[in-house]
Amino acid sequence: MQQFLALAPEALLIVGALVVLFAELYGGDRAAAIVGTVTAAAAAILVWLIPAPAEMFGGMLHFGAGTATATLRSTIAGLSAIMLLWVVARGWAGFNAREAVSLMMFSTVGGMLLISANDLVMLFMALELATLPAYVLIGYAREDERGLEGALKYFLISMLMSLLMAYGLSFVFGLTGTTAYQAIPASSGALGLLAGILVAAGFLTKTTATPFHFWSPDAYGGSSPTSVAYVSAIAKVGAVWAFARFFIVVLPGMKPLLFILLGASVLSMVLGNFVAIIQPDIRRIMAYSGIGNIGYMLLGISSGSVEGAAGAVFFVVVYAVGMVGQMLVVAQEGPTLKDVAGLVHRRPYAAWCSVGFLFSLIGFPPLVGFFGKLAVFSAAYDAGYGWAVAVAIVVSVVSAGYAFNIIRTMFTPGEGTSQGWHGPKPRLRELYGIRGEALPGDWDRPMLEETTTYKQYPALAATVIFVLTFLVIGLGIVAQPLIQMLGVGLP
Amino acid sequence: MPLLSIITFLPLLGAIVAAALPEKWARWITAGFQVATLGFIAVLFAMFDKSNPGFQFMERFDWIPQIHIQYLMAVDGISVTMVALSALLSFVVVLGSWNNDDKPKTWFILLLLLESGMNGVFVALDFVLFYVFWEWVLIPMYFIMAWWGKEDRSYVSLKFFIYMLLGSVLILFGIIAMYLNPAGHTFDMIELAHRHFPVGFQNWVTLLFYFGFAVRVPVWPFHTGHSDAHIQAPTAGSVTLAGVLLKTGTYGLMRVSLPMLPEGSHHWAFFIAAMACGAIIYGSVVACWQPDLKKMLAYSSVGHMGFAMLGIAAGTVWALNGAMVLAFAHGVITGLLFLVVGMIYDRAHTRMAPELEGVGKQAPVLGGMLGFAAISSLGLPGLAGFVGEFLVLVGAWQSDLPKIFPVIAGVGMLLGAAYMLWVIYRVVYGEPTEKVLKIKDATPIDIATAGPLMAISAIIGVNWNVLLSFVNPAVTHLAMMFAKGM
Repeated sequence: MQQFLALAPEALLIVGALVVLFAELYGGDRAAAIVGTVTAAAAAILVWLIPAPAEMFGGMLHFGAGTATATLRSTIAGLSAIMLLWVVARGWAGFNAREAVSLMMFSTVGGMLLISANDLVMLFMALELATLPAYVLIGYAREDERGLEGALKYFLISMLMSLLMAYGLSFVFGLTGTTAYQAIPASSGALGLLAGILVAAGFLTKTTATPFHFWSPDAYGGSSPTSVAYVSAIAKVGAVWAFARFFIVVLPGMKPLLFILLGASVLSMVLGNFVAIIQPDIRRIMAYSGIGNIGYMLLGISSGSVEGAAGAVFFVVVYAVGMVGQMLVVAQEGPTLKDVAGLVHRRPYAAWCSVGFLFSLIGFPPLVGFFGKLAVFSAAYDAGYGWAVAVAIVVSVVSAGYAFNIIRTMFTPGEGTSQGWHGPKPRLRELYGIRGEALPGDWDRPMLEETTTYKQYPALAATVIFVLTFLVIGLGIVAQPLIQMLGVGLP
Repeated sequence: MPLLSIITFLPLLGAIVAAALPEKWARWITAGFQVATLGFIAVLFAMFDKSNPGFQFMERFDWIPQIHIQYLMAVDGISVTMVALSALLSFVVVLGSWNNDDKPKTWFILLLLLESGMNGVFVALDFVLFYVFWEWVLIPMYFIMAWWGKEDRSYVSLKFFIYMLLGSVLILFGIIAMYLNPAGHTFDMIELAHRHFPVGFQNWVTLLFYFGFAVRVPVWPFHTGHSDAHIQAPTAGSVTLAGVLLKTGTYGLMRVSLPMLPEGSHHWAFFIAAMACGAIIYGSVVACWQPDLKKMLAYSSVGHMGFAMLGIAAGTVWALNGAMVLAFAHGVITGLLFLVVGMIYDRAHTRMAPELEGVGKQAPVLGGMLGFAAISSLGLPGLAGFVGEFLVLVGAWQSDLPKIFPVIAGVGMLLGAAYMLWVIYRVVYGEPTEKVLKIKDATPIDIATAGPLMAISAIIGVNWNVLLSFVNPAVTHLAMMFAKGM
């Protein structure tokens, strides 16, 4: 009995999520968000207070790997808590908050379970628990056709790939004879490779890597930025850890598979960073930026080394911090470039914090994103992928392009920005599935404070954004604790 | 006392204080913190042991031990002069923009941040820390250009940033490659200088660092990010860019390429020297054609920095001393030139030489300052501009580079004299044009801004030992390490 206590944080979140679901009875949206914040924060702290056994349920859950599992569980819950605190101040940016909060908490539990999953069935279940609420969150703006289309696309592609992944997992089960994580026998040959490819395809979809990225720009582009903040950032942490761990523990040293991942990595980096530049909508920019960043992350996993895997996990954690911050700024200021034009004059702190987030995302030292890049680049270089690192480094420069598209619009509106620009040419619009006329004008709306009935607390929202900025800078300058807890090292 | 950390982070502290206090105090806080920084630099110079070629004032502790990143700062004769230049020009820039009332708080905060980054580049000796400062300077520079620049600021500031970033990531690649080489496995730049990397490895990594630093210097044909930036930046931006940021490029080559990759540097010496001569000729010729004074100065910088690159390629004691003196002198003189041109622009609202004839008659003090700066820049013996170029030419002649290079460089010196004299002829003398007739002469604060730079130029020109006594021991040591690569 004693040992089940280790799951108290997850249990607490589930209870909290159920309580939030009935928020109608005790105060509505704000009460829901407050309950959510408190439980998530409590869960993040509880992780550290209750000593976890090495394994649980006969090895289905695993809490080893030094302090890494505890750190990541706490990180996921903690980031959710920080984000929910913003929701307390701002609501779900114009939508009902209570169900969204509840869904987000369920997904958070899924993410935390993904960290400790040590069994094929557990892995699949946790992955689905983490993504199912995400589909709903993406389609949360149900009056918005584009949002629904994006959500449907997300659901169909993601579900299909989940099933393929389950198919792959069944091969793994066949090869090892157990559902527990166990290295597949070296003699498994083509079947092992096929299993690996199928599983990898599933993970690549969940983490929005090329060539399975198609859903993400449309899904993010049509949905509430608040949902994007969760789905694009926090939800990826668990998936990446599971991804990295699966390839280290179950499919170690499969060279052809690693090459496939490397290919996906290079494609993601190039496509994500280049296409992000021409997007008129920050949600879409950040979707492509996410694709590019996942490409960097994959460099770490494809190196096949423990350092690379740890680097990839570290990378995605710091990516999540920057991404949540950026999307929360977008959520309160408006999702298109036009909405944030001249933001520095309207709300200077938001613009300057946004600079911090974006610079961290493109890996600018001494912000924490830089150390993530340093770790994965080193691992990949050491694995002999010097050319891939060269590509990664060149597209890092390209990534400054989209970051500056946003920064220029915020700081020098109308000077050489894409103000007079009306979306890509028709042919391109078709190709990328952009619908409607002149995207930049679509969301021509006043500031959040003036449109929603949810009473706003701008100062609290500002505090949350400051905290995230502080994390982005502070974790960079004092990177040592996080690096140590996640077991990151250079080869 | 952690003198170097104080010198690096005092401006940053100033920026935080200025951000926290009301706008009207910003300029006084800025000036106060900068004077304090200069005071600490004076202490540094007083305590500096000139006879020691190695590193002094070392501060070392682990920053991120898991990945072997240290917080390591130290100075030798090469960096100590550069830090002084950086802090001095930063202060001059603040004086020069004392009356700026367009978002003054942000302006002065950015200037302080810029100074902090620049000081850091010159004292950081851990590769990652170095890279942090190396990139740091770009952020304030971007905003300075994007907000206070001229007409085309938005495009040019972005181009500048991306250009510089491209150079930086090449350096990052080089850093990772060196760290992961079996001979490396440390980010400690002092230690790396004593490692011996395989020759083949050195050859390609040297090229990475060369291109990375060349973008900053800038060497022709990588100058296009800079030349526009110089024109569009506000005066303060141009002064710091030309005065200090360009020097980080030559400093980087002297700190990284020569000692750590001596064989590679030898291997590419001919190429680097040829590019340097190309820069000298190209910069000087293009400068001759520019009616826009700032554009002319931008191209003249390309030419002058070509001399420094030639000195680095030659690698002899004289040449390296020359490159150092030149870097310092160019910082002072070009800073002065941009400052004076900025003062004229603020009054006449044009930078075009044909419209600015007769400034000397209308405003004798302003014209005199411009004339002095131009004469310094063209390399008149007795002023700072001459010393560096002379030493580089002698050094390049002594080295085993083909003798044609110093000859070409000498021609470039001549061209430099041509366009500068042209400026004096047109702008300082000549009959005042309509626009010039309206301008007022220099104010006391203008004189206080330009005065120190003029004095330094004269002092170095007359007695260059002031500078060489600091630089020479370190440079001799460096030349020795470079010679090992033969």
